[in-house]
Amino acid sequence: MEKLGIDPLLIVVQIVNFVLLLIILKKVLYNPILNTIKNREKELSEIEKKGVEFEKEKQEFEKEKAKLLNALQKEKREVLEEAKLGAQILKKETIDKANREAKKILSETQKQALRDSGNLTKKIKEEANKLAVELAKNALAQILNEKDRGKSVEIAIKRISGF
Amino acid sequence: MLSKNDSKVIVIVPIELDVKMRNLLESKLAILFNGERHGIEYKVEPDMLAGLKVYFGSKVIDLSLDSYLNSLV
Repeated sequence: MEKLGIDPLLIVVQIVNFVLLLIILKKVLYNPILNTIKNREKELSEIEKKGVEFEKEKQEFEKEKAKLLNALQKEKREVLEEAKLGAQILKKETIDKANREAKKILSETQKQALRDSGNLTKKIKEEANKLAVELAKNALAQILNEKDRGKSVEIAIKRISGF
Repeated sequence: MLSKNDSKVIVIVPIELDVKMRNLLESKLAILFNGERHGIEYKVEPDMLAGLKVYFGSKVIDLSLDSYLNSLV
């Protein structure tokens, strides 16, 4: 061995030296790095877990939101339909009332016109009668002489016995 | 028939009546008053056309042409 230049003691020392180095490295470097990696992995896992939970909560929130929106839209449609129906009923009632009022006014106007027409006709007839009688009186006053008047009185006297 | 209460008689005529016509009128009125004669007052209204009117109390015998014409109005 010595002829080959190999020192067994040196080899042993080197081996011991290497083992010591390994032990020291394991203590000082390897274990802390492993611990750190494990901690990081654990933190990442927790973050991932929280992310999943958050995603789940987000999805539930979205579902609730959609549900609420649907309910709101449904309520909005119902309110709109109700308001539309109410407005149509009110409109119909207003139109009906206006029609009734118009018919009433028209009817009253027609009646008034008929009354006015009747009154006017009656008045015209009365005036015509008065005029005719006045004309007749004037004509008779010019035609009847004293003799005719005396005759008329005589006829009237004869008619008295009938009373 | 007329009653004694209608004693005052007013006759309205368009012209003055002669005696003959007055007698005729009075005899006719006497028949209506059961033979009793009443004081007759004559009133001449020249505007009257023809016929005569007799007032006694609140009653009237209207045989005038004027009234007939007025009734047509």
